[in-house]
This record gives sequence, C-alpha cells and structure tokens, in this order.
Amino acid sequence: MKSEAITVPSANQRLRPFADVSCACLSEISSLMLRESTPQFIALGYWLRPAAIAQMRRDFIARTPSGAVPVPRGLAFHLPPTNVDTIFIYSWALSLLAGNTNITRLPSNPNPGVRRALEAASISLERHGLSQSNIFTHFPSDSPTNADLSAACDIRIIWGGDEKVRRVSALPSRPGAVTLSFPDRYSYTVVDVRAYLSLTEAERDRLAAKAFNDIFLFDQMACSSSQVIYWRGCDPDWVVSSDDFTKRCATAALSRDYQVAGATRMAKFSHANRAAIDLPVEAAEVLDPVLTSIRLSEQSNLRERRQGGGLLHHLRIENLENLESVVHSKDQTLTYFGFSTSELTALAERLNGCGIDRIVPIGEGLQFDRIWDGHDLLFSLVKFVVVR
Amino acid sequence: MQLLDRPQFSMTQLEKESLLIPALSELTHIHRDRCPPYRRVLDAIWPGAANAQCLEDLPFLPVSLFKTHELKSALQSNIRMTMMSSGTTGMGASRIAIDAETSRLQSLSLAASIKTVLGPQRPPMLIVDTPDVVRDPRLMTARGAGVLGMMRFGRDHVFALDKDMRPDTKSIEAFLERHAQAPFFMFGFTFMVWLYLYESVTDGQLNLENATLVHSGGWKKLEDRKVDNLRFRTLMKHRTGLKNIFNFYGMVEQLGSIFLEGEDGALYAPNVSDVIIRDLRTLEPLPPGKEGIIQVLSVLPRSYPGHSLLTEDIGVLRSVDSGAGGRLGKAISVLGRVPKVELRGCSDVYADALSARTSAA
Repeated sequence: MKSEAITVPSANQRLRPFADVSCACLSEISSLMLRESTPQFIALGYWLRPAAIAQMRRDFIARTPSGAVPVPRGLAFHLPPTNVDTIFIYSWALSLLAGNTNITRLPSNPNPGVRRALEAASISLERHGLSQSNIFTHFPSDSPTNADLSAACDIRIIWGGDEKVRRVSALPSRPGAVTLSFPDRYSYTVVDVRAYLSLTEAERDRLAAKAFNDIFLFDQMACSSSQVIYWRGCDPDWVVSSDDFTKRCATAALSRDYQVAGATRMAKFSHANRAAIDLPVEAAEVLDPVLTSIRLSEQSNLRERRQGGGLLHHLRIENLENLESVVHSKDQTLTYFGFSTSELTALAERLNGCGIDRIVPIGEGLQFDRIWDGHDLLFSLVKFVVVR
Repeated sequence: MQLLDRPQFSMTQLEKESLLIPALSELTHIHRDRCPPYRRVLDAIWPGAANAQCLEDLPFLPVSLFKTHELKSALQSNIRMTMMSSGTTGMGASRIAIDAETSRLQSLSLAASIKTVLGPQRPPMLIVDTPDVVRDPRLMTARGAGVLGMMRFGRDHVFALDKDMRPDTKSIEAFLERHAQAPFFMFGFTFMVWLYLYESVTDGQLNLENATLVHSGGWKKLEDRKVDNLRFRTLMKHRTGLKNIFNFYGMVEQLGSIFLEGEDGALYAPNVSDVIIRDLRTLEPLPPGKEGIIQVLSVLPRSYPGHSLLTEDIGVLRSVDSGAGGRLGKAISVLGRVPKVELRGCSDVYADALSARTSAA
C-alpha cells in the first residue's frame, strides 16, 4: 500500500457511464474473483459478471428520465468501512460504471481479504489503462489529505461507523458536491413460527444454512448482520422453533468450520451474563462453541449491546405490527422467512421511512444491493443533464 | 472449618471434594438468596445449579462481571472495604465487596499457606514495593491488598522502594546489615522483584541467601526480557544467593486463596480452593495436560458471589495428588492470558477457508 503524494485525476479522465472499457475492466475482476474459493470473493465475482453488468446497464438506460443525459459527477472520494472487506470494490465499481474518476482511502494495514480484492482490481485497472484515474491508497484519518480531497471531490462516500461519518462530514466539501454517508446500522430477522414448524427436517437445515450467511459472515459485525430473531407466533411454539432453529444454525456453522477466537468466546459468555442481569432474559444458552443464544421475554434496546462473533437474541412478537414499535432509524436490513411480499410491502409502507431500508429473504442479508441504505448508489453517482 | 484446620495441601483430592462440593453448593444457595443479580444469572443460564453433584457442575461467573456490575451478598453497612483490581485488561477495575467474615477467612487461609514456607516464625520482612501502596486502606488495590495481607507474616518491615518507586538503597542496605545473617521474608510482585533486586544491582551486592521470597504477578511483563520461572531462579541465585523462592497465582476476586508453588514448580490449590481447566471452545472440563481456561473455586467469598469464577487466564492441570514435597490436591501451571482479539470482519474466518460448499450469497 503506497501512500506517496496523490496525483488527483483530471476532468478529462472521466468516462461515459457504462463505457466499454469500464465494463471490460470489471469483467476481468469478475473472472479473477470467481476463481477464488472464499465465499465473499465468489459473491463479488458473481455480482460483477458480464451478464449482471449488462443487466445493470439496461436497467440504467430504462430508468434514465427521457430528455436527460446521464453524466459522471466527476471525482469520487471513497472511504469504505474497515469491518467488511469487499464493500470497497462494490461502491468503487458502481462509481467506475458511472464514469467517475476515483480515489479510495483504504486501511493502513489491510487484511488479507482487502489485499486480495485490491490485487485483482489493480491487475485489471493496469491492463485497461485506468490506474491513473482509479487510485487506491492510504493516508491517516487525521491527515490533511482528507480535507484536501473533500474540498476537491464532487462526491464523497463515507462508510461507517458513526464517529468516522461525523468526523469526515465535518470537513468542508466543494459547494455543489454531494456526500453519501452510511453510518452504523443494525439488522435483524423475522420468522413466522407456523411456517417454520411446517418445514421438513431437510428444509429447516437448508434455511439454517442460508441463515449462516446472514449471521456469521464478517463475524456478525457488518451493518447487515442479523443480531436478533423475532418469532411471529405463540407460546410455547415459538420457543420450540427458536431452540430448533438455533441448533441447526450452530450445526451449519460447525460444519463450515467457523472459528471463534478464544477471546470472542469469553466475550460472548460475559455478554450473556451481563444480559441476564440487565435485561428480561428467560434463558441463555452459553455452552455452544459457536452460537450463543439469549431468549428475552420483553422488548429491550439491544442496539447498544452488539457483541458479534455468533450471538443471537430471540424475541416473540404477536404480529408484524409489533415490530413497528421496535424499529429505529438505525435499522437497515430485515431478513425474513414465512411472510408474503404483500405483508412486507405493507410493513414498509406503514414504517414510512422510520427505519429498515431493505427487506430480503433469509440468506440474502449480506448481498450487496444497488439500492443501499435507501440510496440508489448508481443514480447517486451520476448527474442528469437536461436537454430540450 | 475443617478445610482451614487441616494442614495446607494435606488432603487428597477426593477428601477435599467431599468437603468443597457441599460448601460451594451452599454458597451458591446463599448468594442466590442475597444477591439479586446473581439470582438472575442463575435463573437464566444455570437451570440445574441446585443439583450440582460434582465440582464441574457448579455454575461459574466470568470475572469480568465484577468490572461491570456491583455484585454483593451483604448489606452495604456490613461491607468493610471494596477491593479494586488493577484493571490490567483495560476494561476497568473489578469491585469486590468484603465483609468482616470474608476478611477473617481470607486472612486465615493466607496464613495457612504462608506458614508452609515460613514456618511458625514471624521473620523480619523486606517489601519490594513503595510504602505508598498501602497508604489509604479505603482505596485498596489488588497490589495494596496483597502487600498488606503479607505484612502480617513479617516484622520490622522495610520497604525497598521510596515513594517515587526508586530503590531506597540506604534502607535496603540497613535492613540487610541488620537481618541478612538469619532467615528473613521478602514479598513483591514478580516484575518489580526482577527490576529492583536483579536489574538494579550487581553480582554479590545484595546477600539474599537467607531470604524466603514469595512473589506473584505473572511473567507477561518479563516476556521481552525472556525471563521465565527457570531463568528467574537461576539468575537470582547467581546474583544474590536467593534460593527459597515461591511463586503464587491469585486474584483480587478470590483473595486469600493463593496457589503456591511446590518443589516441582507447579502451583498447588490451597485447601479452601479448587481449580478446573476448561476447553476454550466448548467450556468442557479438560483432563491433565490439556491447555484451557482456568476456573477457580473457593469457599472464602461470603459477601460476594465470587466462589466459582471463570478467569481470563490460560492454564493446564499438571497433577492431582502428586505428593511432590508432600503436597496433595490439584496443581496447575499458568500459561498467560487469553489473547485479545478485535472482531474485524471476515478476514480470520475466511483465512480458515470456509469450503466452497457454502452457496454463494
């Protein structure tokens, strides 16, 4: 990771939205990623595959207002999060497709995941002559470069946590420049008890395997990682369901060789003990090696008590309306099983922006969506020139 | 109580357990009645707590709980003092509420342990610390409590360091002038003993031939100097003639229950205590020879539910009823703390290669 002086790309290095060279560059990254064995890289490779990019382009054209010419905003300054390795590629890729020039500030000591993705991107950028206009670098968070780039860029994309968003947002940007922020978010799951209990053993195992992704990827620390499961149903069925599902999720994690560091194991045990004292806990299962579970009898504010590393809270709700009193603007992803799209659409309408930006099936919690935290990223990365 | 009356380390593991299990079960009941937060923990996490048939079935609390919550089983008016640990894990200090009864039992147990290395005498004592550490009894830290507790076993006390933590050479020399020809007692924290009785002096400068040193604190701080127990002993003996050295493992959460070093180098559980090593992942009890997290049990804590605690230390069970130096019961070695880890994201998880069986998201 080089951190020498940055040569800010010039305006004439911008490209047309969905330029051929941009699509080709991403295609190459896609093939490189699809050769990896790690799920998050495979997912990235899949998302960037030529057919997907082609579809994105068709959607983009279809959604472009008539009489408007989409153009890049200009220079994009990206500040991705440290806790999720591949997010930086997704947001950068969309910005490249938008035609922007890009500067991304990566962590000083990128972990293996970031390095691998960066390698692939660098190879492809070099090959397509896009290295000067797509810079990945590092400089400290208190470096004046942050202020310089904030003042020079046309769009600034800040990924959390809250503290970082606050700090960077405070740096003045050019008048007319746009800031997109993705602060700390909180996510959870809702399952219908009757629907769950009517699944066969094999179907339950498959659901647990999908839930594994939502819970355990990124050590349950991503903003989309589910922290709580709300069970819609009655006593005592919901306890039967939650115990059963928990066991299967733990089995799914074990069979995938999920490793919990010793200190995390201790932290989860401590968390459960503290919860038992502070919250209305009915029961807590603390002996499972990968998944710690806490069953609560009443709604509680769990947002400040994130532990991660495989710890789930369980609560019962009578119906989806009960969820509404829980929802907070910090809430991002709701994964579900056993609900119809119409029920969930009705929920979104009733919530009317109070919280929850995505409602997706269990297993898709960490899938990167074009519309993220309520922002249509691609559309936010371009401007429209009106021609009449 | 029998456990305190019998000579230290004289009971077989079986005998100990026949006394410890009912005593610890009773403490679980007492603390459940008198400490509401503890009751909540038992109800939520340990439904079968009342029926513990063996040590391994007894519920245990994480030591960190004493840092975040006030857990006491006595009326505030009966609390004589509140101990505070040094908060080495960066999480803040443990607060331990001690009443008169607990304090009395702690002293008795400590005396029974120290008697095995000092005999019935009360020798002159050199404390490898500063007098400031015991200044205000109301602000007692683990270090202060340790020193104060040990001071009862010596007389004509001299502190080896001044209030600025510098070796008080004059006092040390005067002490040795007066007492070095006969048995005397020394106590200090491992790192400080090394710094001030080894690194700060030259060969032969101090004559510690007749000293008995009791020390504690762990080897972590001496890691970069590559000093472990063996080197400590060898080098101290070479430089100062010191040969009677006894390391111990203890904690502010179970004061008075010290695991004292035996002639085989292992740390022996006192009569009032026991120890279980648990697998880091499953928390299952482990047999001798397998490394895991140390759980300590002690019948001393009466005013707070600290009778069964999961520590943050890694250790291994070395022997049960070894008979080395005439000692029975369990003996452990302490290997260090659980390594700190920051939950970052997927890097470590994926480095362990989740298989391609996982369906792509």
